[in-house]
Amino acid sequence: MFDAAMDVLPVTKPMTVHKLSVAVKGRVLSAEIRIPKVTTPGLPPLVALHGISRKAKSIADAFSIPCDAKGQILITPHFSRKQWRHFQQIGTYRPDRAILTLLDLVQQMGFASTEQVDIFGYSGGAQLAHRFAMLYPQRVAKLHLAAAGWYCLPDLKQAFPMGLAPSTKRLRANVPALAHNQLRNYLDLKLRVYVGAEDRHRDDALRKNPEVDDVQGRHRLARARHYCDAFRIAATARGITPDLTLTEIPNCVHSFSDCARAGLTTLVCNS
Amino acid sequence: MDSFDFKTAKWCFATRRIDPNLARGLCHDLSMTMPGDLILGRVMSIGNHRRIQLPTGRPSMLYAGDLVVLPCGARYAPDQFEGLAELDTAGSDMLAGGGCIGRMVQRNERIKPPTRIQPLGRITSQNGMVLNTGDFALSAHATPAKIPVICVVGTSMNSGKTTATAALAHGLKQAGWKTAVLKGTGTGAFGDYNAYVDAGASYVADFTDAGMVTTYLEPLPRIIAGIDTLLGEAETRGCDIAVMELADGVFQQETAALLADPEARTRFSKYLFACADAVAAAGGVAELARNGIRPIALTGMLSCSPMAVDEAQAATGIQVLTKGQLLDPAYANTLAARTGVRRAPQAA
Repeated sequence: MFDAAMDVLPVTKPMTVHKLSVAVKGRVLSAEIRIPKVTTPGLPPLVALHGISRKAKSIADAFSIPCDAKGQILITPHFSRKQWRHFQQIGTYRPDRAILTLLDLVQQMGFASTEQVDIFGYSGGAQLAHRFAMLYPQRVAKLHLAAAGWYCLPDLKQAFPMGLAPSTKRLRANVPALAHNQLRNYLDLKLRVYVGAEDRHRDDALRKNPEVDDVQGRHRLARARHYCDAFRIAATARGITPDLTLTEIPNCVHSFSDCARAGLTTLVCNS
Repeated sequence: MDSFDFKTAKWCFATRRIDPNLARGLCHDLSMTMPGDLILGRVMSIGNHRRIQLPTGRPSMLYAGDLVVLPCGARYAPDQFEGLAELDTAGSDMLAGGGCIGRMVQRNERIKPPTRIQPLGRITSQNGMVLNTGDFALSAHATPAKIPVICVVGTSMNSGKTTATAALAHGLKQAGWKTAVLKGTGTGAFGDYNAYVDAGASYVADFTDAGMVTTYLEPLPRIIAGIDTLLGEAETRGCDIAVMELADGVFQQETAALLADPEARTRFSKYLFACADAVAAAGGVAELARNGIRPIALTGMLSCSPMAVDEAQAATGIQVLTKGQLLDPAYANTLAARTGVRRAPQAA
């Protein structure tokens, strides 16, 4: 069911680059691993997830300098459009299992311990990042969500996928129940949320329907604020002091490159 | 016999903690034989067990005239034999493929009579002491283990406990947990042990590692002490969580005694119950409830049939998990979360 392959590219500066791939139930997930010249012992690798434009290389390039400076290994998966059309959703597809398999491979090849990783996701990648963390909170050292289009709320009254109440649809994997069981551990995570301060446009990529608009807000900025409020309320209700920050990046719309130029990647690595 | 080369004999899996080089002599007096004493025997005739399980993990075909080393022990296996830790110099019974020589008292009617072994004597060390599995057990741990434990119990032999245990262990490994897989009761054999190893468990052990060739007819405090030894060892080795299978069904006397003992139950965080059908599910859940136990999920042969799953869930209100779901890291992880597991400190 699983297989793996690796190509080692020539050493590039500033980081050594390796390419890996794993296959889970016939779907291949490729990834690039960038190793700093000097790695900091004990530092979890950073897994950086692209959005629906799937610009994994742009993400990798943008994180290279801060990760190298910090001594942090960088893992950038690439979900192909052909095989992972809705990669940001966990249910019909299992991108979570592909990520776990990739993390296993990284550890088996001796690149890094991947018992825990920092996870960053931009836009659709942030959707996958928080859904992954809701299922496997113990694997996440720090969760960085940037400009997610919408969120799965830690709310037991909203039906999945908006919240964690049972879905009205029949699911292959009962993700809401699984995430519900992990909710307390999820709310205990270190969560860093980022969004462009001008990310107020209702572009084509944004999920727009009355339900999401009414509950989470009409744009990504509002939805990020709403998510942070919901996270705080859910954590506090369980006696957990949330370790959460929301950073609104000045002068940025919905653009990873703009956010990166404005210091997003450095913020992530230094948080 | 002092010059006898014991290494030419086929040592059974249940002797795996004992170095054959320690065997130096034979005590021919069998009247004082204790459970766990190592017996050198000669195969007289081949019966139900045509092969012996070796410590290397492979079975070895038996032939009349073979020399074998088996601990004396009892056996409780409704699908095979019930036997006692008693020897007869004229001929005794091989009660289990993984080891165990004794006297069969009853057998399943679908099973052939046991392979017969002539006990030649008890194996002694250089100083003349009889080698006994109990002397080669893991050391007991000074403080009680705190490792979370998912205890897998079932209706009977072959209800799907080992399949469920191995699948859950693999799912937990995929989810990133260092998982110990342990067998708390039963008779030493490599089938379950190998299944646990194959599942990718970080640590595998059974009651044999706590010095018992079988737990049948062992006093409850000794069995509990053995479980504590295994859990302590798992914790020492840095495991985050343990999955422990208890042999046979919930009516088997040692398993029943463990489940009925409030102090023993403090070791087990949650329970998974394996059974073959919905009626067995309802009965098993009711029986467990008498001890205040409510399983977090049902599994086993039952889970192969969607209709049986629906019946069982309706009758018990407990979710049924298939083997595929136990293998799924998200499902395994949710069971782990129910135990309150936290990442263990790194082992020294």
